[in-house]
Amino acid sequence: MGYVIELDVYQGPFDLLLDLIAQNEVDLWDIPIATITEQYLEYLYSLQEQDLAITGEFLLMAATLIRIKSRLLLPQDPLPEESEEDQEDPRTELVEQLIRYKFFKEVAQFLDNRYAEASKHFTRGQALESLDLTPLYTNPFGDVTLEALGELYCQLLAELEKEQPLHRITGKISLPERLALVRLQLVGQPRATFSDLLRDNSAAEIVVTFLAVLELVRLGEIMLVQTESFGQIDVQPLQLEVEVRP
Amino acid sequence: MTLAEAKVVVEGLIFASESPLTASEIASIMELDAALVESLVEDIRSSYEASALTIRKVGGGYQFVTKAELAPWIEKLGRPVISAPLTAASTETLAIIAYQQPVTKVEIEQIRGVRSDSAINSLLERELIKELGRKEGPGRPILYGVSDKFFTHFGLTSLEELPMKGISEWK
Repeated sequence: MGYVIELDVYQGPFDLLLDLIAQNEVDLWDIPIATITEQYLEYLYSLQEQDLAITGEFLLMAATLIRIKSRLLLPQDPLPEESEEDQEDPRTELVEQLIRYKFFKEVAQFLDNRYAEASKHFTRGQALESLDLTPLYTNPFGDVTLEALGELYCQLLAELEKEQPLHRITGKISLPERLALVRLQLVGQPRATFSDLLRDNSAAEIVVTFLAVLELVRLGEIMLVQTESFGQIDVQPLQLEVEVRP
Repeated sequence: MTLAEAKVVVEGLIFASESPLTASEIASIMELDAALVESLVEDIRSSYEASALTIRKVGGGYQFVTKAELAPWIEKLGRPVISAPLTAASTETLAIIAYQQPVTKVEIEQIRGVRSDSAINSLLERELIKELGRKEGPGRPILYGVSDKFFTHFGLTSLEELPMKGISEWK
């Protein structure tokens, strides 16, 4: 089951280009633009095939590469009055950006090494600092097991497979009516669950029941208790004598 | 105060201080010469040779730390290492800030060729960089620079310790 995608992770178009240049073992100052552009686009296609998003930065670089390639293909302008700027190698600007980026990438490597070295030394106050960092993330699933998830899924499937009536006469469900019904359902019950109130209801009815329950909370007649995320919601009447209105 | 007495005081000050203590801070407290303090610190360091501790100089200040060879044992204490390692994006961004500070987000992004908001935010969260004010001009963008914690985190004394090889090719 499942499959593994193996893909080099690049920090951006510069990172990818530097890697391609290194793979081809060519001089940074004399990049074979045609080859590199082709390989660069190949990489983008492979991303696309795997349904991975290609960010605008990668596309912009693709456009830049193609522009440079086409400018290299064009014959040099023979007119002498052309300014020197236009006679410049169209690759220069890109190469300068790459060299600058490469420098900082190497510094980043240096910093990583320094950190590896520095983190071997411990200071006295350090434990407190790390304690603050531990509860950054909590597991949204709590201690829900795989089995419990599976059971829930089976229940859901069984629910879906239940025969649906061919015709259903649906009237307008009003909130006051539903309020009264929920109050009735709760009479004499110390507690119920939210799903108890929903038995065999259509989507529209579920929505109205939900609104009714919220309204009852607002009126202070019931209290809702949920002990864990996605868990059972308990509905607890707060007044012993619930007034039942017709 | 004799030199031996002074040495003990310096040792106590470095031990008691929560953050790295610079030679000039010690000098002003003790009304001594900073150069003398530095030589006293060297004395203290050598007297710790046979112990678990050593004095490290970070960001221009001195602090007591455990020796590197003890790391495998101390990690068994269950104490997590300072924090998760920085991502490649964050480290790159930090490298640029260290050399180019004060620098704006757009200037960083021009060098990296990609958006760097999340890298900058995570560095700010870790307090490895700080805001240095705003650049004059349209939009008045925020200027970033490295913080004191940057030096402790990487065990650096000053920015001059950063590599300069290859910098002339683009600067």
